[in-house]
Amino acid sequence: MRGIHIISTAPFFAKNPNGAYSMNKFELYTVVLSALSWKSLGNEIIMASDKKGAEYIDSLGIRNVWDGMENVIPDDLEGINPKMFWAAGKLFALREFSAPLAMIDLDFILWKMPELPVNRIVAAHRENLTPSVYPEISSFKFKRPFNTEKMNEKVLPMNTAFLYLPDESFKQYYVNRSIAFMKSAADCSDYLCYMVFAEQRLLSICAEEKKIGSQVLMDKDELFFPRDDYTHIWGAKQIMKDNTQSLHDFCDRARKRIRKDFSAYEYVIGKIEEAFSPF
Amino acid sequence: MNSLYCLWFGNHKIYNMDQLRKNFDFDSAEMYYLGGSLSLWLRQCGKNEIAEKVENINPLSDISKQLAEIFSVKLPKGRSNFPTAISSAENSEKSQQNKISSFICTEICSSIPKNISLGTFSSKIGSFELIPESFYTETGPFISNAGSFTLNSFYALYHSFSMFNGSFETTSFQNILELSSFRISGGSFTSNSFHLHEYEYEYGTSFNFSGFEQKSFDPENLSDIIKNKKCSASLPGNKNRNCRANITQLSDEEKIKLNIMYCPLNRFGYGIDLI
Repeated sequence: MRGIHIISTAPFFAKNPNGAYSMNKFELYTVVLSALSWKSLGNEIIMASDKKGAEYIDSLGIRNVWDGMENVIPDDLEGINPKMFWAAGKLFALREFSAPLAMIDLDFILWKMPELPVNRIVAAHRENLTPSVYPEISSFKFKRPFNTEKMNEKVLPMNTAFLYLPDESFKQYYVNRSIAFMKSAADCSDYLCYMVFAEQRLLSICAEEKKIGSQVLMDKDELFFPRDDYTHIWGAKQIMKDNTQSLHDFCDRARKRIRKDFSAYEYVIGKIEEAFSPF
Repeated sequence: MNSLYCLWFGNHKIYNMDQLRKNFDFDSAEMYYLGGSLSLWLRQCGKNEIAEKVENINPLSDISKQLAEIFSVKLPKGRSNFPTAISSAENSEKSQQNKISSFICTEICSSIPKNISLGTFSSKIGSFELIPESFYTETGPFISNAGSFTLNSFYALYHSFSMFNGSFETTSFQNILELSSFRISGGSFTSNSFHLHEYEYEYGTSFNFSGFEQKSFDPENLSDIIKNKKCSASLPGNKNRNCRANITQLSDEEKIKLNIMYCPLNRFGYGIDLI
């Protein structure tokens, strides 16, 4: 199965116009483990990025972790507000790759191969319709007409840290509707509700509307139980940004894991460490 | 790079130009145009000339009118699609309607309307119980000096969460957006789940978990749980862990605590101990 990782730098440059894009050390170790584990399960992994993202991976010298790298995400996100729609790059990448495919977040690792049916989409897990995250659809404001009539407000959104789409026609429908929503939404300072609607709630709405079956990797009510199949760094990213000890412990474990299970890629450790060396 | 696909115009699957004209739907056509795949589909159908016209549509003019001309279909009366200016201030103002600017609790409060949105929540005296409902603070700081809180779930969207005394108990704590600080100087904080939305970490804020660390999850309490449960074999792909409890015998709360004991970072994500 083809998997895609996605780096979109537009949100970073919207906040740091003169900055130099980079990822944290723990983020690099995580994405490397994500790619290597996915490959070890008999799959292909492609890095989809924009120009700056590709340059960054090249500058690190770790391009060979992926089976290929494709510069498919428009640098300007075709005019979409990168602050509001910080994950828009994922939708553009999905648009460009043929189904069937699996989109894997950079901080999501599959240690076991999930069941991927030929006629059902598969996402990480469902999410509750928490009103503060998923408000009533009628609350969205648009700068150009966008039809939200007949949308089923009851279907639960799906978390897309992992998303498998088996069918090209449905993938195009979902992705086009999502991008159209992002291009139609009025600019505002809501940096959450609009984005998760475009990416996660619309997915469920589109699937239900087109009678496309769906399933999830994990029960949403059991995410924080002990598990042996999937890793999602999720909120721990901020903890590692704030806490040096947590960062060191995590990176140490990641290095050991690479050496132990993916020894052919041990050189990657040197490359990553070199990038963070003060000398 | 894309394989062949059909368009969906309403409930109709569109495989060719005849079907497209016969079942033309402006909402769908505009969606595929804005989404970027309409011209690709046309090229897939061998209609390169029309695809070129679609690629040359001016998105700042009326898209509906331009599509009607390109596909030679009648434009319904009143139909148009071009961007209008909605200021972000106007949009923000609309989203703030019907919110209470402040809520001050100076005596025992046993209930407030559910899903209340507050500018500021400040509790100085007394206890606050809202067991079956949720509590949201959406715009202002949450400050508690001496309150006792028992909530089914707590959602904090913006600003700070500060607790100086008293106890705060909830089965689910979620911070959704930009919580600038999380501070517990005294008292206790207990939550079965503590979820901070991923977005927050994309853009960064800082937290102080000193009180949270000590009060919420006590590893010593888990030792008995683990001792009293049978251990299962080590897990595939995680060879460095010799023994894990057979979690089927644990309560949900014990499972969560055990998971966090495997790796403290599991509180903020999941399966992080597997690395």
